[in-house]
Amino acid sequence: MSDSALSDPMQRSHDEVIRIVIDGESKWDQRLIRGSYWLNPILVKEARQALKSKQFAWTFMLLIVFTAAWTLFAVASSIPDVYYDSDGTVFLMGYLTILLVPTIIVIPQVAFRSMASELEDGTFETLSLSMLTPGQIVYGKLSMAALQLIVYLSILAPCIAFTYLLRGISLGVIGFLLVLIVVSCMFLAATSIMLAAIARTRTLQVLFSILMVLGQLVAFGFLFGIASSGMSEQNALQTPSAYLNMFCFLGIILSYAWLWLRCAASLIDMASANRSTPVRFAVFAVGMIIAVGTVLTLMNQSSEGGSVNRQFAANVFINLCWFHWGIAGAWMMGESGIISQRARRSLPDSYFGRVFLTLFNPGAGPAYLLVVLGFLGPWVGYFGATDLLAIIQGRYSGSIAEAYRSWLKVLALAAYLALYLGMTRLLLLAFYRNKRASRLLEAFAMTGVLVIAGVFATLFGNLAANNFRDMYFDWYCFLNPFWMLSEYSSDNTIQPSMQDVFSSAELFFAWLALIISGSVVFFINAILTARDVMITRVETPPRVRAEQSKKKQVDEVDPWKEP
Amino acid sequence: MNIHVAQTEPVIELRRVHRFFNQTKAVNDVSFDVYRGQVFGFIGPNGAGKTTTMRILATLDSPSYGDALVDGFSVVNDPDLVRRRLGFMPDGSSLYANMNCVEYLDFFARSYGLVGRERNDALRRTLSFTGLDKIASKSITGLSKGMRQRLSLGRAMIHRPSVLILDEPANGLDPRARIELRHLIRQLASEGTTVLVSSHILTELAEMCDQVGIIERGKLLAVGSVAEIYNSMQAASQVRMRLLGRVEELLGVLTTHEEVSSVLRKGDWIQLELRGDDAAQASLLRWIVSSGFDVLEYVSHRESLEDVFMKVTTGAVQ
Repeated sequence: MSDSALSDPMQRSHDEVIRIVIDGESKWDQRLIRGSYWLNPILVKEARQALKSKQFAWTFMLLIVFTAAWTLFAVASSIPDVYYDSDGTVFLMGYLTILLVPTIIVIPQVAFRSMASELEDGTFETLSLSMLTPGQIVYGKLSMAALQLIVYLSILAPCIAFTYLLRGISLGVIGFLLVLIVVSCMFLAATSIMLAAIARTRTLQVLFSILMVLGQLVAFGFLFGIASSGMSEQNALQTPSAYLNMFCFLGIILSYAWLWLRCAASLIDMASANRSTPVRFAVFAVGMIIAVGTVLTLMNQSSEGGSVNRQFAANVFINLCWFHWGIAGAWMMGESGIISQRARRSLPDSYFGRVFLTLFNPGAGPAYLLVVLGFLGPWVGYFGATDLLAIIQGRYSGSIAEAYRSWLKVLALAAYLALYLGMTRLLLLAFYRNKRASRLLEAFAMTGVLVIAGVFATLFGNLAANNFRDMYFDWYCFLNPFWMLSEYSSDNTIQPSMQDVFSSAELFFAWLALIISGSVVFFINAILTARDVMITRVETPPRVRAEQSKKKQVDEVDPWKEP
Repeated sequence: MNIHVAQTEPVIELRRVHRFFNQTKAVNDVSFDVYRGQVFGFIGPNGAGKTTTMRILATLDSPSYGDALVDGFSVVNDPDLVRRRLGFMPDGSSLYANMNCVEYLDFFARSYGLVGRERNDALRRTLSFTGLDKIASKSITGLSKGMRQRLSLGRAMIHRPSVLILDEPANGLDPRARIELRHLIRQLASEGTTVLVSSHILTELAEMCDQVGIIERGKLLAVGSVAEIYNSMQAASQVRMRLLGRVEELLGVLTTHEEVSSVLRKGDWIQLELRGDDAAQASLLRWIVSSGFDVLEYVSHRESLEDVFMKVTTGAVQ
């Protein structure tokens, strides 16, 4: 709405002023208002607020000033060589550094404050009473971050195009660096929205703000480093392998951003809603994306004949996947097994649904099975399929020992998940009599304590067994995952040939003890989960169904069909 | 236009609602019904459980036990359907900065899924009803307390809810703004909206409420119209009368009357406390006149909501 329209209200009738305020003055105003009906209301609100905020005005102005100042400074310091030399990289580095400040520092902080202030000021309560879903709220906040990013990028776009004309930098590298900055900005914004949704107290808000700043500074340094090395090694960046690796990396980053948003939406959802299943689907999807990334990387490495890189890439991704499921599982072990009537209406009902989707039901029991099987499944599928196929076709390129190493490592990692998460769940069941309340933080802390206890118990026990003089890996050291994996990865322990796989008796017995203890804990938990998976769907009352379908009809109204 | 709706099914039903915070029983077994078009006043001292009950009804909190229904939908199982029917104005509701009144209302209209003509109509109706149309483009930051309350009320009613829950809406308002707010609430009720309102200003509630509920330490002590509560308590009426002669004679008769709890003479006036309802009072007056006493003046003073409140509550806190 234009302020000029209201500048002299005495000249207009009261109805006319109200019409302008609501409908807009010009045809364009009216079209824009109608067009905005398709947008997320949060985005419209935040855009209106942001455009009037001092923070946005200052950031916008300073960005223009610094961009202009850098352009003038760089041109002045390069004259007269700027006419002959390829100075594109120097100019671009400056512009990217300027761009990193609003995108990596300002936008995520604004997203954090936007979400935190809703919870802090009490406006979130009025917001949550509206028809907006939690997903719309968090995606609205993220889309505002994206809008700001577009505005800031648009300021620098002519200058970045200018660097290409100055030569010395390829379009591919410019595009790659911009995509990296955009993805990083969105990831940090999503992270900040999730942290703000967790931080319901002032103390937590301050703590998370500090953590956010530290994380942003690390991201700033990381991106600055990538930008510098990217420009100095442009050719290396433009190989298919580099593109594939970057594709996998960005895919994983974006999938985590999505997971954070799902977590944030669940955190602000109603208590009786099924807040668990959407997050579980996201955790599962991210796990699968990591697994697919591995497969793509391994296939690429194999086609390039790099067996060492293949092993390295497999290790990196398996470890990443393990941490992913381990950390997600540590939180999920605190979920209450009590499912509200409302949530029970959304449980799977069909035969296939109950077979394949029951592990996504709320509760620590199904979560435990999902974590262990979700980690194990893709690797068994991938290694099993490729190795079996290769052996059958007689074209197995690597040694059999290499195949065993992958198999044994995956099984060991799965056993660690089964052991530590299973113990956490059993202890929580024993300690807390109130089964209704979810204890996510307690579960996470307890898993951490158990792992640390396992690490220190083995270190102390080993030192004590060796008169506090030296440490030697022994079978009981399997409780220490880091020592065990370090021993396992050591080339001195397992030689790359079939007969040497179990050459170290200590490692073999440690592996065996780990698998046995992991299996025992897994089966105890699986038995205890039987009760959770028996919970069945309840029918939605007809009146509620009728209301829901009425809402659907309202949603299908076309706002453009306005007289 | 007044709408007369038959009181068939309650719009708000509280069924044995409990809310515990550790050992504190914030709401302890509260049940009551409110019918369409009624204004229900919720009275109680600070910390009595009014806000907690209202927050449970508004689906912002969950009961530890029991359930509450709005239009037949449970706040526990169908909070999304309850929210569609409900407008809630919390105590000290905060508003967004960097927005003007119409932008604020526009945001909530969109949030309730109102677009196109529906949105325009909702904005016009709300601005006009709350009297904000003259300051529609004024920034929220510059609004007075009364105007902010009006804006909050406008936000709560923009989607035409069938139930409005107002937690201390008159808090901090000047007398004129309070009177205007009272009129707005009565107008909403006359249009068929069910209103649940809490306030510390009992005289205001007595004037605008069809029913009241008195709550203390989480327990609902009394519920009904002010007259019903008064009658159920068998509270006494203060009656003063002035006679033309035969004062001592009437005094003697009244001291033996079974429904008169106390009687004394103050100059020309006889002052007595009468148990029973309006019918008992009318009966006594009829008997005095028919017995040949000349009554010059007769003044009856019913106990006010404040008196009832003070009698029902003990002032204890938990």
